[in-house]
Formats: sequence, C-alpha cells, structure tokens
Amino acid sequence: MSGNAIEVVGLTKHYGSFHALNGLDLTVEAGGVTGFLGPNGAGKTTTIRILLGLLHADGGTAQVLGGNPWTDAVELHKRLVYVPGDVALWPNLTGGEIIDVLGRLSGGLEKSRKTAMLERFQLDPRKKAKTYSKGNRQKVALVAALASRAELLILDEPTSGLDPIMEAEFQSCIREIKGEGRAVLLSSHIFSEVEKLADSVTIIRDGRSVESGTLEQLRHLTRTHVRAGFATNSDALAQVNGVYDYYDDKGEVTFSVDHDQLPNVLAAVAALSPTALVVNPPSLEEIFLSHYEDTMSPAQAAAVRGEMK
Amino acid sequence: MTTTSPSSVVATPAAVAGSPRSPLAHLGTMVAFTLRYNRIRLIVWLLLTVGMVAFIGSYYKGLDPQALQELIIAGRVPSMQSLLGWITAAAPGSAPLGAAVWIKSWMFVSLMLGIGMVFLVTHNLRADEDTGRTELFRSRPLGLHSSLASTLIMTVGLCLIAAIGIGAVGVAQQYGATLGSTSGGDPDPLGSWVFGASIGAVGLIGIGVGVLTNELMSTSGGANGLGAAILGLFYIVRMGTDIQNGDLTWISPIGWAEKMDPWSHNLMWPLAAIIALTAVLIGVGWMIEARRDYGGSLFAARPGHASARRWMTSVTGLAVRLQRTAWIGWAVGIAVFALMLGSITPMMADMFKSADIGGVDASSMLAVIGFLLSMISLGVCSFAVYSTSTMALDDAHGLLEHQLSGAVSRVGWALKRLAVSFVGTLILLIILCKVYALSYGAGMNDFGDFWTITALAFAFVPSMLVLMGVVVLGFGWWPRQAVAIGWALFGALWFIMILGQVLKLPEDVLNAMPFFSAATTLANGPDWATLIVTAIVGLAMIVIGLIGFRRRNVPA
Repeated sequence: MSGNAIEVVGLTKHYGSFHALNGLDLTVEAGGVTGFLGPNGAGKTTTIRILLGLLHADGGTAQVLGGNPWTDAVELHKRLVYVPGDVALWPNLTGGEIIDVLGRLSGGLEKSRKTAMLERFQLDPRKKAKTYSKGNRQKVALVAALASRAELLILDEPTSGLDPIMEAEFQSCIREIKGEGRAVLLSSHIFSEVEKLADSVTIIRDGRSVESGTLEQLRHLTRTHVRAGFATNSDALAQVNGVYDYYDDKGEVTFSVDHDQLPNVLAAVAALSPTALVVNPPSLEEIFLSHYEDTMSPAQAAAVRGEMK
Repeated sequence: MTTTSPSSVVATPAAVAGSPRSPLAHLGTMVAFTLRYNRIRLIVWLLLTVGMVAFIGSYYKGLDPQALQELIIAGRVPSMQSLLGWITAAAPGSAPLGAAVWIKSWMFVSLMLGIGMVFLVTHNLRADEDTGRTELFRSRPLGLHSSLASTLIMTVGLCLIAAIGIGAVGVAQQYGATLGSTSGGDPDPLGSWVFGASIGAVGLIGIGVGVLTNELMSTSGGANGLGAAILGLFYIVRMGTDIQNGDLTWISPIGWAEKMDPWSHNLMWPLAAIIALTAVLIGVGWMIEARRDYGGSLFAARPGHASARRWMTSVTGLAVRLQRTAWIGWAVGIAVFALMLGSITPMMADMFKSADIGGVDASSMLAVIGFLLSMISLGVCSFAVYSTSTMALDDAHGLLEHQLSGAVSRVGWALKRLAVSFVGTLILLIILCKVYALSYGAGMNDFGDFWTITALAFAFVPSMLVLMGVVVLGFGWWPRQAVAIGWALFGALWFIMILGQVLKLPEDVLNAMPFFSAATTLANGPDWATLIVTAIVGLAMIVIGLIGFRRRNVPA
C-alpha cells in the first residue's frame, strides 16, 4: 500500500486551558512496528483516540490509512483493529460472544483463526466476562484483534496484566503480523517488549514528540555503558576523553562512553589489564529516561541510574 | 530527528471536522445486539405494564357494579386525585370498569414506565460510555449514532408494544362497558386504545428525557438521577390542579397524557404533542452527540479536593460522603412533595365525602393523612434499600476487600454502614412528616396535629428495618442476589400497596404488612403489637445477615 499507515503532523488538542497535545508528529509505516513511548499523561491515549475518530483534534493533520480519522471512521475501521489499555466488557456476555460481536462489526472473523488465537492465549471463551481477571479481559480484546486480518493494528498497552508466557506469545504474533506486511502502532511501558518488536520509536512528552527514529539511530545519541574489574588502580580512566560518570566501587568500575570515543577508551581499558569487562549498548530505558532527567529530582535520577548498573 | 516526509497524498487537516460518514453504519447489528443484551428487561417491562393492567382489570371485572362504584368513589376523593390523577370517565354513567382500572393503575404504571425508560436508555448509552465499553464498539466500523438509534428503536418499540398490549387487554376485558351492561358488549373500544396510548406516551416522555440527560451528564448515576428528577417534577407540578380537574394540569407533559381522557373525551392529539416533545428532546441529544468527544458531556466532571477532609476518612464518614448527593436529591424532592401535598390537603377537607378506606372510618382527616403518608413513606424508604445495597455493591466491585484489608472488623464495618442508612432514611421520613405537617397546619390555620403527624415518622421505622433487613440477609448469605432481593421485596410491597384489595388478601394480613400497620396510627393510635413484631422481624433479619457476612468469603 502506498503511503504510510499513519501520518500525523503537528497535532494539537486542548481541554480548556490544558493542552493534552502540543504539536505531535507520528509516522507508522506499513510492514513495520512503531513503538510509541511516553510517561503517563503525556498524550498517548489522546493521540490514539483521535486516530480512532473518538476525539476531535484542534489543529494539525492526521491521516489513517490515507483517510480522515473523524469523517471516514466507519470505512477506516473496517481496515484497522484496536486493543484498548483498560478493557471493559459487558458483564453478562461470555468472552467468545464478545469476540464474535466485535468481529461481526468488522466484517466477520475467520473461525479457524479465532480458535487458534483462543488456543494460543489459553482463554476460555465460555466464561462470562464478569468472572474474568484483568489479564483475561485483556486477552478477550487481544484475541478479537489478532484473529483479524486488519492492515493496521493500534495497540495501547496490550499486554498489561499478562504473564510472561502470554507476553512471549504476543510477541511472536506481532512478528508474524510484521512478516505479513501489516502495520502496528504499539504503545507500551514495557521497554523490553518495544525493543524486541519495534522498528522505529517515537517518544512523546507533554503532548509533543521529543524523539523519533529507529532504535539504531536513537542508540547513537546516547552512550555505551561499561563495567570493568581492575586489579590495579584505574583512576586514570576518569580523565580519558569521552568517559563520563566514572564510579569506582572497590575495584568494580562503571562509566559511560561516547560512541565516537569508544576505540580510544577501550584501548585505555586494555592497557590497564582488566580482569572483567561488560559492555552494554544503551537500552531503550536509558534513551527514554535521558529525556526526563531534567524533570526528575536528583534523588530520583540517582536511584534510576543505580538500577541500571 | 524525525523520519519520513509527508506522503504524496494531501494530508487532510484534522481540525476541520465534517460530519462523519455513515453515521448509522451497522445499525442492524447494533439493534440485534441491543435487543439480545436487554431481552430479560424487555420481557419484565411488558409484564409489569400489560400484565399489571390485565390483572387489575380481571379482578375488577369480577366485582358487582355496586362494589365497583364504591371503588370509583373512593378513588375520586381529592386526596387520591392529587396522587393518582383525574379522569372524566369516573363520572357516573360512563365506563365504570375502565374508570376503576384507570384510577388504580394509570399513574403508577405510566410513571413506572417513564422512569424505567430513563434507566433503560442510560443502561445502554451512558453506562457503556462511562465504563469504557463503547470504546471497543466505536473502534470497529460502527456509525457514530448507531448505538443511540438502536436504543431508540428498542425503547420506542417497547412503549408501542406496551400501549397496544394494554389497549388490547382493555378491549378484551371490555373496559368501555357502561354500568349494568356487561353482557351488552363494549360501546367504546376506542377508549381502551386511548388508555394504552396514554401510558405508552408517558414512556415516550421518559425516553426523550433520558436521551437528553445522557448527553448532559457524564456518569450513569447523574443521567438517571437527573432524568428521574425531571419526571418527578412533571408529576409534582400537576398534583395541585388535579384535585379539581384544573387546567393547570396542562403545564406538565404527564398532564397531557392524563388529559387524553379515555372513555370520555378520547383525545388523541395530546399524544401527537408528546411525540413532538420527545422528538425535540431526542433531536437535541442527537445534535450534542454529533459534536462531542467520546466520553464527553455537556456538564463535565470537575476536579475536586486534593485531600480528604477529616470527617470523610472514617467508615461512617466515607459512606455519608458517597451517598450525599443521592440523599440531598431525595431530601429536596421529598420536601417539595410534602409541601405540595400538605398545602392541598385542606382543599380536600372541604370536598370530603365519606368512604371506606382500609377499614377505618374515613370521615376522619387523620385517617386519610395517615394512609397517604404510609404510601409515600414506602417510597421514601427506597432510599434505605438503595443505601443498604451499597454494601453489596461495594462487594461486587471489589471495594469491600480493599476496605476490609484495613484495620476494621467485618461486623463493625457493616454496623457503621447500616447506621448511616438508618439515620439517613429516618431523617428523610422526619422531613416528610414535618414538612407535611407544617404545610397542612399552615393551610388549615391549625397546628394542633403538628406533633402527632411528625411523630408518625417513627411509626415507619419498624417497616424500614424490614426492608433493610432483607438486603442485609441477602448480603450475608446470597451476596450476588442481595440487591435484587431487596428491590424485589420493595417492589412486592409497592404492588401490594397499590393493588390493595385486588390481591384478595385477608384484611388482617394486609394490616400487618409493613407500612400498612402504620397507616392507621394517626387515627387509632399506634398498633404497638404489630409495630414491635415488625421491628423484631427486621432486626432478626439484620442479625442473621450479619452472621452470614462474618463467616462467608469476601468476595463471595
């Protein structure tokens, strides 16, 4: 399909004086997974609701599958599928009934695919929705979405409440979908999930996109993390060009290195005969949190850095 | 570092919102879903409306003409007319059977249908949007207005079927038959159709009001409360003028339906007026829905306080805070109603005719007042049912386990909640009686009965305990059915109250029932034996219920 699945430029939305969205840019390409990250309240769900034609935008442009999300909602919804962050179901209907009703509105579900998905996610479709736990409610929405053949999937924290086995199942489903050339917008707080699945990532903060690109591109913006053990004194390393946040914990040394300085620094490390060496590329978590360091208190920042050692 | 440049297709500005295409897409699917989702409610409504009328009609048909006339005369007493409405056909020589059925059932069934439609509309619209279920539907190819349209199709269809059903019952049971000619057939079958249509019309009013309040309020509680309040206002407004068949009845849309006057004037044009009013209300609601965001409403929820005030943080305080809005609504409604009723009672005193009501010599005004207030106190005690059932609702919503994880014993928690329900309802009863007594005394220029009437409030306490007791009993032993059990008993008492002798219960049993036992208190003094036994029954149910609560699983 020509063009992108989702094309958003300069989107704005305000509620009275509160600006939920302040010029958001977002692109989702066909055949790829786009991660959509941001802290709580940044505007992710608002953006998704605008893309679904549930909310009016106040400014900017938004295009979903080549159409206007508000006026062409009914047509577009035949080609896309949505999993909400907090699934509410009709208490007296069974999971299977709800999946069928939703599927019927979208033009029908293939029975074999539905059964296969129910099997994969181990969901009993005969139980009434009011008896489902949070995770099972989530599964109802997931099965209804993944059993379809929609061109575009819009997923808002789809695996919240799922155990790690189901999380793995979900990831393999998404990989299959990618392979079929369909597009996915994945909004999630689970960095490992986004790292494994996403081809590109957009980070949103206070209603505008602050970072966007492939993971590779984003990694080049931050530093590589190094942890080394030395028998001798290694304080000289702290003075090497490109080394930051040098910290010596009784022989176990940690620091971060600029990408372009990596060769010299490694040479310096080798010269000091390390007994142990671990080099980590920057995680998505680091990339994400580096955008928020100036809004965190010093204590918070220290705690976060401590956790990422 | 953003990636690709905009695609070659010209991007449409998001802010320029045209109307969404296909606003009724998949209406058929939605109608099927809505009908299936509500199937039990629909059947119950048909039974409550058509079934009740048929039941009353069949009983009255079995009475001899003299007894029927006495019933009609009793119903034309001004006090009754203010509560139940006025009908021309009750004049001698018209259609006694029809008139009797109308007097007994019209106001009750049509109000029930009207308020019921508000609740049914909210159940299908705002309730789903409030909880987030609509989001799932709207993410599919469902038209913007399909949900509203399917709800309308269902509710209007229900009112239509109820109206036709009642009309058919009337024709079958020959409500239009004139006195002494039950074998001569029905000279006025049209009257029965008008009768049915007038009840369906009030249902339509409820639908229109419900659609509007669903667009105005952001929660289902708000929509239901506002809708019921509006219908209540329509009811109260025509109360004063109905005593004398006043023209002011036309101010209230319920009055329009009332004035359709089956079996005498047989007016159908007020129905057209009601249809027009309903269409306008629905139209306004439709327009609001077309423009607003998902989840939005005209009156949005406003932010509140950042921290709880001290008094709110105890079990009792929290319960008061949560039930405060509903209670205030109740209190205001009851006060207005009592004021109105009290002010027109003196007019009744002038027009009083002797008749037999409930086995007491009705030439005594006090007997009438006692009877009236007993009927109304049952309505007031619906607050007790609601308040007590919040305990069971907390359990169902997972709030109970959260509260019990704190430093509070189960029985202690329950007793505090019951105390809030008890005191809250008692104050409402006192408001009812006190305001009524004030208004009545002012009208009569005689406050001699003021304290007697005020004290009547306490005579209703044992009956209140019974209502609360049933809910607590359910809460302890059958928690998932507790709320239903409570309202079922309430409904049963209500039916007994309205139908009275129709059920052919022995006089003694009737007088022993809750609320009936208090009816004669004003005239004959308190029937201590019955009051005490009733109180004991209520308290016993509470105790047994609490025992069940203490030993069962939470949640059940």
